[in-house]
Amino acid sequence: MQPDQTNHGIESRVNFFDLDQANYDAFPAIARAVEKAAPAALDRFYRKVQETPEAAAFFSSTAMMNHAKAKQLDHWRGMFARRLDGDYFAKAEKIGHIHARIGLEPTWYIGGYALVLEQMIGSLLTGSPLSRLGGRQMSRVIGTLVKCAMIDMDIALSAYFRAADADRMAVIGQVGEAMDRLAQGDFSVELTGLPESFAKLVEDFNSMRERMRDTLLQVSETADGINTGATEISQAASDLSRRTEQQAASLEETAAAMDRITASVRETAEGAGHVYTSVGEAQTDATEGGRVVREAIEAMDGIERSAQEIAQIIGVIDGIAFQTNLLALNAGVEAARAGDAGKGFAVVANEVRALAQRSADAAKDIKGLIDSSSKQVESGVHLVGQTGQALERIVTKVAEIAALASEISASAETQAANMLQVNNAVADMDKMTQQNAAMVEQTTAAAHSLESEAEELTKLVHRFRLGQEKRQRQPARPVASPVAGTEAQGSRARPRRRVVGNLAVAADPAAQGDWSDF
Amino acid sequence: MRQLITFRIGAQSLAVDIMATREIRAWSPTTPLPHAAGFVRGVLDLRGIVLPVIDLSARLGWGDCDPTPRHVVMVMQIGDRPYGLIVDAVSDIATIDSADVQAPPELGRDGDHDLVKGIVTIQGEMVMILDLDRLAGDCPLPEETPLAA
Repeated sequence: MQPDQTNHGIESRVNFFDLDQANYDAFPAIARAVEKAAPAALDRFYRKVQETPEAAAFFSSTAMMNHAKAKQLDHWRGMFARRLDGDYFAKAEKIGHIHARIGLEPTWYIGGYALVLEQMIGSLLTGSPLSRLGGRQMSRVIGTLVKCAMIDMDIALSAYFRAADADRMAVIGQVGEAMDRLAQGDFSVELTGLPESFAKLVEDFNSMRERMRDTLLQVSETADGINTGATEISQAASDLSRRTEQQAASLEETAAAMDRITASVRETAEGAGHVYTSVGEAQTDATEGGRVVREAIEAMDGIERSAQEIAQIIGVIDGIAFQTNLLALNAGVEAARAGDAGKGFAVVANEVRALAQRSADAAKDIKGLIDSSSKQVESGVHLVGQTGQALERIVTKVAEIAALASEISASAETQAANMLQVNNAVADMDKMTQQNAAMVEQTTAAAHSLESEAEELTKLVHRFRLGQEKRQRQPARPVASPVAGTEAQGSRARPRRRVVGNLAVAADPAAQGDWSDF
Repeated sequence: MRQLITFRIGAQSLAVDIMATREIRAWSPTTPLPHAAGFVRGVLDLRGIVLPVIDLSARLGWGDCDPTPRHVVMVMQIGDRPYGLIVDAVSDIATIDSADVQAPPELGRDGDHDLVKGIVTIQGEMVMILDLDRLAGDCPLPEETPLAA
């Protein structure tokens, strides 16, 4: 309440109500009427207040009511004690402010004035010395009383309505500020300290805020979940991509190895075929060798037979030599008997014996050679026979080898065919792996996209300050800036209790203390 | 100077006087005689003359021989009749000096039964000269009967 405004208020009112000197001249008479009638009128009024529960509710005790009564009486006295100045105006406005603060409705206030005025006008017209005044003077006194009472009421009510307006404006401002903070994303704001009459508004506001905050918290958590999931998908896709690449590399190596194996198997098949051919030739050669061996054995037999024939012939020759020797000996004996005449004959006989002996020796040598030859031939026959057996075994083995080589060749051909199938399968697998790799890349891109979308969503949600629940939540991922922002905002978002002093309820002891100013 | 015919029985070299030798021929199977001495192989027909054949190896106490066509029968004139001696082989006709003949050593043997007349060395080899009379002395034979008288 600026003094200027106060002075302006009182001056404009005094002028508008046309309060002139004549009115001021009536003040003493009115003051006397106040002394005379006001106490009884106030007693009556407070009895009426006590009878009326809605009015009595504004007072906690009888003492308080008496205190208020005394203050009110002082006010009436003060009103007519001097000219209406700034001090009076301030007092009257204070009454209005107090009424507005405690929520005293104008009805009770105006009713009180009506009772006092009724009593005082009655007193002026009937029981006081003033009644002796003339009608002209009486009307001026009563008019002044009514005019002053009206001015007083006007000042108090004006102050009352201004204060009430101010309260409403304060509520609107508080709600507006809360809405503004909501609009800025601060969901920790709470509406507190509003008058009782706005309890429903506070409840609805807080309910709306809680619902929106819960929703946003869920959205935030869901976004975090999506983010985590997307990160995991991305991670898994990366792993899958890496493994798919490894698989592709392995498949390539496998394909190369299979090609080499197939080539080797082909070579094996060809080699086995060559072996089969060579073994067939070897078999033919071995068979031919067997035939040669048989012929050799036959030839040996022929040699042996010839040797035996030679031996027989040699035996004959030896026999002839033996007989010749005997004949020569007999000739020698005859020559000896002949004495000197037989000497020449003896020499011839001796020569014949020598020839016979040489024939016998030669025959013996030949016989020895023939025997040796026969033994060697026999040994040769034996060895050739063994050679024949060995060749037969070789022929058998070679036949087995030929069969085995044939089997190897057939197996290798089959293997080569199977290898071709494996090669085709590997090629298919390679193709599929390539497709998988492409798909994995798409998945990775989609996961990254989803991740960034979720992060964007998280950022959007983090613009809202959601109070303690949000602060206590540990984020799934260390996303530094949004969390820091949340905490910073959270500390600022701690509910501030806005205390508006002139809106204190009647039960407030501090407010009760203000009655001392009544 | 005298001439000997040398021959072999096993490893031993023996000799007889060439003048007692009638014929030398290859062995041919003989006809055994009943109850004959062990060293008598049997009899042989030599161009009409039946003569006993003595296994000289058995006669000399060196064991029976197993004659083959390569064995030789020496037909000797002993006394008034021929005998056949089976030997392994005839070696030679040797001419020796009678002075070179040495008597066999008298070493605890019965002199009547000594079949070796003397010992002579021919070409470094010791040759026993047989006593033909004693050789045939223990050979009881039938009277020589000319088949063609």
